[in-house]
Amino acid sequence: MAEADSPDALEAPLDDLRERLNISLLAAGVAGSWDWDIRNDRLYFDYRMATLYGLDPAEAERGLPTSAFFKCIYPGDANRLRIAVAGMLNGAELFLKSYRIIAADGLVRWVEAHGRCHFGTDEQPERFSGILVDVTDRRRMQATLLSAERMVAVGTIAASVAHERPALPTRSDPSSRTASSKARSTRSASSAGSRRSRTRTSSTSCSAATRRSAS
Amino acid sequence: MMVNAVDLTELEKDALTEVVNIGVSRAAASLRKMVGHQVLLSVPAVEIVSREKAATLLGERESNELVAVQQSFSGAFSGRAMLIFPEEHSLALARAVAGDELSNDEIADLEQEALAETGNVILNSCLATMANMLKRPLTMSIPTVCKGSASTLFEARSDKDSRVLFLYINFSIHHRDLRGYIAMTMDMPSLQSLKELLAEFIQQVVGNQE
Repeated sequence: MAEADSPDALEAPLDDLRERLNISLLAAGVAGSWDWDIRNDRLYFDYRMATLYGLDPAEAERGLPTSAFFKCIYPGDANRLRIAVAGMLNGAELFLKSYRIIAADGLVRWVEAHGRCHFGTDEQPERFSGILVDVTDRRRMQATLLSAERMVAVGTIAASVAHERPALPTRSDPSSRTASSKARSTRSASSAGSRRSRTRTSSTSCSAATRRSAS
Repeated sequence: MMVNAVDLTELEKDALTEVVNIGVSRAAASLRKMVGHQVLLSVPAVEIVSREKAATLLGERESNELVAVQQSFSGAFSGRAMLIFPEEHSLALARAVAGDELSNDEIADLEQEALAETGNVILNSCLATMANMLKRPLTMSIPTVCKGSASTLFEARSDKDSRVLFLYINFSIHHRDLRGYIAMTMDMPSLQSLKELLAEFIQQVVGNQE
């Protein structure tokens, strides 16, 4: 049918496919994709990557200078990324890099770039394409977990110190004494303890060693 | 912890990883031609450690016997390169390289040769790429295959202060997922030379872009 062959009729399923691909990529946490035409020195961003980088999506789809790849990179990460891209342009096949970008909204975001270089029949790099995954939330969660783990570790140490104090042998009310006199009394109590019972001393030093190794 | 003057900066480690990544990619392309199937070698993760630490890192991950293909190299920097993998993967690797149609006995006969050839391709690609990218020639010896534990593979031979460039790598050959390690043992003067060459490489890349 003539109608089915018309450009509009072909465009509709293509739009559906693009939309479905977009939904799949979004579901995978993909923040954008790029295609670097190495031979012709042009870089293509999809709509999401162009928007993330604050570029005109229509222009990005027509092709950008390759310097656009480094446009929004957080200054501290720029050289790392340049070295990795130099690797791709010189024959590396797989690309995996985490770095920060300053997105168009001004916020610093962590991204993970997964790319692959495609080689021509002459075995020279031809295209370098890949996807960008926004891992800011994952990084934030990891930082929160790390901080929580540290808090737990500090809490464990504090609890073990608190647990130790009443166990120290004391002969009078400790609250009426200074820290240095407390230390003196602790030392004398320990040595008195060691004189009284060898078994008890050895079990105390064993638990102290356990605490040290645990901390 | 003691800071060693020859230890690499983060940027130098990135540069080394990338140079080795190029080498590993070339190795994958050569292996692809050799076996006629899809071969993917992962982006390596690099660490620079003492020999003892390398043995510990490897021993923690691999408790069984290991197989290593090793080659010496000399030039601007010199040392010994090893491609190491768990022994239980060595037959699978040999089968992936030599072909599925061979019987188990035939594969067992070919195992040493297949491993030596695979190691030769991977190590040669990595070392030749390092030499090319860093613009200094390197010569390499013929590969030999040895077996042993993590500690025996990293036993001191001549220089006790040598350091190890330790690379983790995953192989995917003909739908088989195998893991392996590349270790390059170098003495301090060699590591110092490598560090200087990496600094030149970084300067070229970063200098060109700025």
